[in-house]
Amino acid sequence: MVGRFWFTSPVFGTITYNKTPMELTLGSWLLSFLPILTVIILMLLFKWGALRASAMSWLVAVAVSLIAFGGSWLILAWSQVKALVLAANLLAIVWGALLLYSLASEAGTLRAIGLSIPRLSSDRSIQLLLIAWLLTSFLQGMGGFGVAVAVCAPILVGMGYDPILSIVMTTIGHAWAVSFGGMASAFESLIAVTHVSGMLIAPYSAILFAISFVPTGVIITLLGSGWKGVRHAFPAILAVSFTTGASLYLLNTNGFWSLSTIGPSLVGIATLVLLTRLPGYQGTKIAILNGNQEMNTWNVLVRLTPYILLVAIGFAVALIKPLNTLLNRVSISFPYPEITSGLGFVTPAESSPVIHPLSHPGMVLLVSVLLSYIVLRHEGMLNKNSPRRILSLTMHNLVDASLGMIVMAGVSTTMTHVGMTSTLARGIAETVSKVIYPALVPFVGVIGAFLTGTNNNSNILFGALQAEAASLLKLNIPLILAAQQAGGSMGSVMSPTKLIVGCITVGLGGQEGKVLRKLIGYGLIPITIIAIATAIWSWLLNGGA
Amino acid sequence: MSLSKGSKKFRISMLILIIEVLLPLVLLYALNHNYPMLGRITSAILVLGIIYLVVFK
Repeated sequence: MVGRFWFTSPVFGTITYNKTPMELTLGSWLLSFLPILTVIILMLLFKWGALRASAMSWLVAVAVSLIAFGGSWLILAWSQVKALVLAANLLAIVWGALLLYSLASEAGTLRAIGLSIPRLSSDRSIQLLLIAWLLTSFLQGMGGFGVAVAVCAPILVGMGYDPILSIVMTTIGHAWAVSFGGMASAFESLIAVTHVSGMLIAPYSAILFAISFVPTGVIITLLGSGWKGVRHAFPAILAVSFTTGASLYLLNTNGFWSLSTIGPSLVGIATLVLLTRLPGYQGTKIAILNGNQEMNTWNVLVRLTPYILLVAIGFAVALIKPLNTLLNRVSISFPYPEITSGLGFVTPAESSPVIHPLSHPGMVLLVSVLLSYIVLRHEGMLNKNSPRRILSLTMHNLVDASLGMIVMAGVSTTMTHVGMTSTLARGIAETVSKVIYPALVPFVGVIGAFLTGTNNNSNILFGALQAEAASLLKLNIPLILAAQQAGGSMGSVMSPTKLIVGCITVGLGGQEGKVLRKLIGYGLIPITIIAIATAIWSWLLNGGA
Repeated sequence: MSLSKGSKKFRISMLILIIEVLLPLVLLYALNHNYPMLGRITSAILVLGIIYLVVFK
């Protein structure tokens, strides 16, 4: 096919092939799919780590682009620069979140939270929901990195639950919380790669996650307390699902998605605490011991300083208009030129997303860390060696995570700039029915996150593809992206990299396969419900066509 | 003073991270200002850094 061919996408504008486009054949589609297939095969069959498989995928993407898609070193250079800008925006959040986690870990904050929760109620079902569902979600909102399971699963084991079930319950409990956890870095990455406004995606995202709340609560209670426990706790599950879902929707629709895990988790905890005042959920409260010392409220509150400050500063920056305006005066954006591949695939001139460094979530995290350090040091909960240990823990964790994100972003931008993503999307649009496709979207997100270990990387890898496929199929793009986001969130908690962390903490090191089999069976239930909801919603939005 | 295996791996990873961050910018400069030799060297190091990740990570 020679000549001028074009199509208009609401996401990418007019995409024009001026010369000879890569004709859509099975061969060209498979070549475009090769980098993704590389990640899948290397991780699933050869058990490679995410970083190593991503690096191989990068080499494959570059080779295919140079050989078959008219790529050049100039395109490669621009792709990498764009990938760096994309990754830097997200890494500022990830680094800040990791620093906050290291500080909280050093000050004993996570232990204090774990010890305090059972004090709220002695009802087993309520305790289970508090720890496996809401505390895990709250901790995920603070930082993630497998912390939620690592902290909460041992608490459940200590309460007498089976170690495998403890991992499964805590993992499923916070599966929804990944997308907006860690100051919503995964959601920001979806916005960055697709250029679709977060305000458009966020409401769909809130509703899709809210749909999964009741099944999540039921699964946790069923596993921990059986059907009798489900019947006992069901009114509480409904109440928590409603208040948590409503607060998630309110935060998202008002643009506060960086707090859309912390906020709803706290609302859920408050709801359950209120419910413990009801006769059906009351129990005998027992003293909580930290070593031989009973923990008092003040002790717990001081240890919670990093998270209290994070919520306070986060809300202040977002809600206090004069402060927000002042901080947003400083902004950074980079102009990118038009880029044309050797086959004539044109990426129009564009600007990078505008970054406001002073109101950026990374800055909010950094300020919270600095202020918390002063308070915790003053209260004697940190010593003079603490900064060294905090920085060392942060640095050791962030290097590989940063490399992985940069390399994965490089794969995505390289594929996008030579038309490989476009070819994949055209292939999907021409072969998959527009009624079926929305139901497949969350599972694509799951696969991406399961393989790469993070919701971030799943969104970077598949976000642009999903948006373009949705555009070609004339589907509602924000809904499809919300479904990708939901799948990515739920897939990331089941990824082997995170399972390893959780299994070690409950003495199941080396038995990840056994846990994974149990986890997949239950974990796929909320994902399937979201997939069905997406398909029905998409069908309704298309007027039943 | 010899470094432990862990420290060596960490330092090499750090070096690769710096390479992957800085070299695309150098490559872009070289290509835009017509320095082909610099461009070739930069792109070779960039690719070698990725190959290191594939082989040793």
